[in-house]
Amino acid sequence: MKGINLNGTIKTYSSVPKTWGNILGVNYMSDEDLKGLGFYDVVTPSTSASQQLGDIFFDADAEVFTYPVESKTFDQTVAELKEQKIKILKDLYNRELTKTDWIIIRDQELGQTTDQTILDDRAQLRTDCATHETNINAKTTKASVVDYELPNL
Amino acid sequence: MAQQSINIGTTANDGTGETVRSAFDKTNDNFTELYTDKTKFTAKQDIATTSGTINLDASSYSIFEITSALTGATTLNIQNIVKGQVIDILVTGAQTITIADDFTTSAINQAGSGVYDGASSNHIQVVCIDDNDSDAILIYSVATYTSDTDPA
Repeated sequence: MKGINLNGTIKTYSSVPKTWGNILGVNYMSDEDLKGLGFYDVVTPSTSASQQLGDIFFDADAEVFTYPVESKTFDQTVAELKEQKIKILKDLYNRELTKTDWIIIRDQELGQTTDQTILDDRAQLRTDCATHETNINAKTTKASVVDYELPNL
Repeated sequence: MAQQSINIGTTANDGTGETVRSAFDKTNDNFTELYTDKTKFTAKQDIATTSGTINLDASSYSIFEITSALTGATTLNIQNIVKGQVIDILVTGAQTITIADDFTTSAINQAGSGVYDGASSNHIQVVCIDDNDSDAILIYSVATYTSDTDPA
């Protein structure tokens, strides 16, 4: 992605325009030549869930257009954010447990012995969920709660 | 050369007009200039240069063909173009092309949204809207072209 400052407004392009004023084939220019026209790379910093990008600006030292990373503000309290996070966590693990619920119900109804692997897997899910819940509850800041990464089951 | 007018005197046979020889000399000069001048509307220049600045003299040619693919960044410097004149430029090559002119101040605007394609043959057409040296206006358009003997 490239950007250019046009009369104080920074415009970004997914790729440089092929024509720019009286110049044709701009797409064949080297990065250095593009800088001569005012086109510089756009660098987008990565952000966590508790962060957001500010307004694009030109970083003269790095010769790139980039964005400041700013902290999001949250209206909820830390406790409320924890509650939301834990609800999402439990929904996540509940969906996983639901996948084998029918096996448990069937075995109970028919008086059969449930495969130990199934039982072990379900126990592990409950243990993992409890561990995550403990970790979330140990967080003390809004950002740390929001940024806590839930597992990708 | 400015047009040379023939002095035909005030009335017929009043002896105030110029001689027949002088009159036809002016006539020849005027026609010579016209015939010479017409090349700028009909002549084509084949250009072997494939990079750097290439001067395109619009007072001598109306069509300019860069006969080989461009090998480096190129400036097409249009010279001596006058208001109302149209020139055509045929060019290819995956390089950057800057259209320039010899006016002191000018605006070079694009008509349409065609783009130069270095992998194809390109036709760049330039028309001079205003040749005022301090406020000239050129408009160019660009399009690719291919041989097509049976256009649909």
